[in-house]
Amino acid sequence: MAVLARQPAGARRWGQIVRAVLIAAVVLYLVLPLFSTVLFSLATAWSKTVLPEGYTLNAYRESFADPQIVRGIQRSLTATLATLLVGLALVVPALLYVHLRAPHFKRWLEFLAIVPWALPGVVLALAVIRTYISPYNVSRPAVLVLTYTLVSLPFMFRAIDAALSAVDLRTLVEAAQTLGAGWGEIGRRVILPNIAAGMLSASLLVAALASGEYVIARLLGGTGWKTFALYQAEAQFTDGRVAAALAVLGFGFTWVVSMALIAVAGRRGQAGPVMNK
Amino acid sequence: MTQQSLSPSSQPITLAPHDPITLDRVRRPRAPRWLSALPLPLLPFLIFCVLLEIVPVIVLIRDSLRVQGLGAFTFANYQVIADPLFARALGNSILISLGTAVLGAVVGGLVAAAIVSGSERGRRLSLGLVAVTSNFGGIPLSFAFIALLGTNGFITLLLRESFGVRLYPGTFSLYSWTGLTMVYFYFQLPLMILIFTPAIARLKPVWREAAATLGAPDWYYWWRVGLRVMAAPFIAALALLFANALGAYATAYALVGGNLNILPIQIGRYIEGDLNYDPGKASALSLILAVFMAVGISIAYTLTQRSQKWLS
Repeated sequence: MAVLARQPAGARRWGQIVRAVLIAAVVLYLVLPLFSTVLFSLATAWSKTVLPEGYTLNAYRESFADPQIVRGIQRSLTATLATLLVGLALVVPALLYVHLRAPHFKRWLEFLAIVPWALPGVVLALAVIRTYISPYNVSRPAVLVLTYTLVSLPFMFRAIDAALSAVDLRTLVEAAQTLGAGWGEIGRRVILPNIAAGMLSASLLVAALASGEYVIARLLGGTGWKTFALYQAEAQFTDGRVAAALAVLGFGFTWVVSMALIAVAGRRGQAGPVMNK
Repeated sequence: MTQQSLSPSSQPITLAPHDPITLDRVRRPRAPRWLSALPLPLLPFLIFCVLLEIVPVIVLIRDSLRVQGLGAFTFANYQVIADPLFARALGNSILISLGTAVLGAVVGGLVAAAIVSGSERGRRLSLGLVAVTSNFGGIPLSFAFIALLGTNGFITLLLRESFGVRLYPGTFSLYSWTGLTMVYFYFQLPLMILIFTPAIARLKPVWREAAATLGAPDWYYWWRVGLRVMAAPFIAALALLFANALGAYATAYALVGGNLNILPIQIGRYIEGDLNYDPGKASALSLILAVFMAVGISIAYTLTQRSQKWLS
């Protein structure tokens, strides 16, 4: 109150105006590129007018009629889902064990989980290629999924660790045991409800990260196993309308995933961004 | 099979160590001591980290120190950074990452302050938009800017048709450092707002009131209290933004197709190219890039760990 009283009314008003202008400019900067992409994907002809001369859904029809693009979408979704399952299978048991039995171990696990964060995608791709890919061997999609798991490890670890740290799981489990619950029941009625939100936000983070990832998919999957992002990049140099339609699809997917993430993470603010640039 | 269930301790070696079903069955009667001491739930995680994190990084370091094809030890691969092409690539990468990080941090910091002082509803809406857009990047983002500011982009056409201002050719090009800065700024800004809003929200109004009661003007409060409390989260965010841009590959590649000389794209060339495939040099450049990135991440991580848990 004292602070407000010190400021003359005019200055306060100016402050409000500056604030409003700043926020409006930022919203415009963030929304305009998306808006033009949507417009571009729907335009029939658009090179001599401010707004498109006409609108059509042809670019979308063309994209979905192209079996290669459909396969690319399927591959990206498959890779995302597989990454998710592998990641959860690795991180959930490890973190449960650490939280229930060996808290002193967490520092080490956290360090291991954080390391991939400090390595650029192109570097991770190179390291994995040199270790596991030769012209003859192993399934590249499998290596791609494992590399995605590696890239998403920091985000996955954080999300699930945050969920587990929010409750005193050890005490809860001991209480359940005292009351005579078996491990099956404890898993179902104590652990799962407490970890579910964390698992869901971890999954959404992985979805945001893996679904549109480009450089690792290109260097690792190569021409044999092209994902959605690779077709997206190709379309950009061949057909602008299709490229715009694919970009809208990509944005749409990320948008849905991000909104879900906000809904799940809610006030705890776990909706941290991923690094997939 | 029968032997296992009868005397589990006699042949523990035949067990697959990561097979929880077999182990469970055997463990129930009486587990050998070394087995029960082994943290089984940690094993998959640890094995994964060894196979996909530790071994590949060791391979990378080994490759960077070997003569290609011969395998003899050498430091020559690292001399590639003395080559003007790669020295400039590293310089460019650091410059654009640092530039967009500072730009994003300053503007994002101001926006975060504006958002915090606004209404609850406005805060929720703008943070929603920011959280969504912070996940945009790579190929689609570059295309979005082409649709906005490319030769036939929305603003290009708007300026030309309505105001007679021609951006192309000559006045402006999206396919340049300016354009790349604009696209990077698009993902730096929301990241900053997202990280920094909670930090600013933690500034206690009591401090400000206390300063005012003691007669301090507003700017003095900010100079002596506000900025000092915010310094650690701000530097942490800056470091994170720097790392965020440093590793970026897809965005730049989709925008300029490798015409701008930045380090990740140069590394990619060494990996893919049939003619200039050179794992030794690629590894050396990778490790140089990784060192800079790791410095950024470490600063961000330690500073936030010290002040408070990340984003909480």
